[in-house]
Amino acid sequence: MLESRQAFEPADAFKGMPMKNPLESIWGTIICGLILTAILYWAARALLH
Amino acid sequence: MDFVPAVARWVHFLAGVMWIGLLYYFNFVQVPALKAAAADGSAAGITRHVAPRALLYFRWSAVVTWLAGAALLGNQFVNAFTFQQGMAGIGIGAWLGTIMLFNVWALIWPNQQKILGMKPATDEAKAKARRVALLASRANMMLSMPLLFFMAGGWSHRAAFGL
Repeated sequence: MLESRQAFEPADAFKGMPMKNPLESIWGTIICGLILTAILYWAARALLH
Repeated sequence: MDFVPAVARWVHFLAGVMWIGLLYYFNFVQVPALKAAAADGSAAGITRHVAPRALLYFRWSAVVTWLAGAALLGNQFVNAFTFQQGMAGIGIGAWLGTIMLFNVWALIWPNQQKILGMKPATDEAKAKARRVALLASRANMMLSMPLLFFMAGGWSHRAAFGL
C-alpha cells in the first residue's frame, strides 16, 4: 500500500511546484495541439485504416 | 451537378478562414492586449467596440463553416462521421470541427456575454466565466491544429498520409 502511494509522488525536482494547465499559455496550447495531431494521426493509421 | 460541391467548398474555405482567423486573433492578439489594457485602464475600447463585433462574426462563421462542410460531404456525411473506409481522415476533421462548434456556442459565447456585460452577472460569476471562456478558446486553438491537418490532407491527400 505504501509502495503504491509512493509511486504517485512527484519527483524531488517537481516538489512544491504548482501544476499548471498547459492551455493557460499560448506555447503550451501549441505544443498540446502538435502532440494531439500526432496522436490522432497515429490512431487513424493504426485503428481506422 | 458539380456546382453544389464547388460552391460548398468555396464557402467552407471563406467561412473557415474567418472562423479560425478570429480564433487566432482572440488567442494571439486580444487576450494579451486586454491584459495590457487592463493595466492602464484602456480595456473599455476593446470590450465595448471590438470584442462584440469579433464575436458576432466568429460564432456565425463557425455555423456557416460547419454547414458548408456538411454540404461538401454530401452523401458521404455519415461515412465520414463513422470513419468508413477512406473517410477516416476527413471524418476526424469533421468530428473536431463539430466539437469546436459546440465549444463556440455552448461555452465561449454564453460566457463572453457575461464578461462583456450583455448578460447580468456578479463579479464572481464573471471571474468564473473568464476562466471557462479562456480555456474553451484555448481548447479550440489546440483542436484547430489537428483539424487543419486532417481537413487539408485528410481527403485529397489521404493516400499520401496513408489514411
